[in-house]
Amino acid sequence: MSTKILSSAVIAGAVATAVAGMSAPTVAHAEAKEKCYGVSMAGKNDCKAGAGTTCAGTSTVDYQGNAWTLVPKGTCETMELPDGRKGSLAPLDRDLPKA
Amino acid sequence: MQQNKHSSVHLNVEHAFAEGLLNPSAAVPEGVLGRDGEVSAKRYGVYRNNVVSSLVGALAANFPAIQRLLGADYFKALAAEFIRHHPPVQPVLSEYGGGFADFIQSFPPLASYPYLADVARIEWAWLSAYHSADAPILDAQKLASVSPEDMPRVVLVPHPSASLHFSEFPAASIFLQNREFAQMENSEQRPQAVVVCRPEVAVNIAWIEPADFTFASALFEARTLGEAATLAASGGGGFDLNRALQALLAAQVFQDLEIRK
Repeated sequence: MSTKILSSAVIAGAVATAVAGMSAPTVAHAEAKEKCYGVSMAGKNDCKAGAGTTCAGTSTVDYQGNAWTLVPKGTCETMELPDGRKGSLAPLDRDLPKA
Repeated sequence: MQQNKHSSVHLNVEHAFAEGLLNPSAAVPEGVLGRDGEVSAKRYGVYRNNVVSSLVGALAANFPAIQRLLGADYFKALAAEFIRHHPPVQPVLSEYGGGFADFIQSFPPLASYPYLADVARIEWAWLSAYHSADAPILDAQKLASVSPEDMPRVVLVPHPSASLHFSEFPAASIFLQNREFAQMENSEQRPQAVVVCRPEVAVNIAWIEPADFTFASALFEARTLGEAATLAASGGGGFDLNRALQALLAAQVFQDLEIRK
């Protein structure tokens, strides 16, 4: 038999090294994103998800309240915007395009 | 009785009308008449065109990288061909195109562009990951806390959004560049292996060393850590268990673990 059976110790050791070698959870979180409403410039909002859902770049006013952009997690609501605006995790009523 | 008869006539008309929509050589269905009261191929042609062009538009929205690689005109012709052979089987347009990659692979005029099908597979995986169900991510500490005796019997459960891709070509780089994700790394490397998944809101494409792909795909087939590692190690070819585990855990491609009895 040429098949090499790896021992439990080898596998457990590799798992331990791999987990320890991973960046700390805080770093993983820094890469996490959240949807932030009311912070995108006109035409720069995100979302692009195939047929019938493509709305990326469709916002028409700056800081449009119902358009979102992906931002690093935890930064949305603390973002400083002109004239006292704040980002929001839920759609906002402000800065909506005129009907 | 009267009503049944009526609805079956109606169904026949509907059926005949639908059948010719994707078949340009089918006869104009009964009852499609012009202003002069004569059968009107022109009027029926409006429906044929609308059906095909809306589906071409859906495929273009689902496969923007492929469209960019082929150019709008070629893409349109290819998509129309695909639509005739593989019309949608469900009503959600953002879920239309599952067979497009295989179709591209078997489309003789594209035989000299063999990387296209792999790019289409990654593009489809991106879309599927985007629309897949949300699920928790495995906490690496949970894996680390399994006892050494149990470790070889650990089965890692893939995240519902996750899929693995291996290409003899730089398909992942080609995909990323043509989706304007602006990632130039690994652009010349081949073969390439990636995992596509959406741990949170954004779809990630993470690199896996091609030598570690056998291990990763064994895990995705619900083999235990021990089985997968043994399989990959006996294949030789530079497999590195440490590196493989680290890449997969960092890419957050698992949702949970089980210990096989």
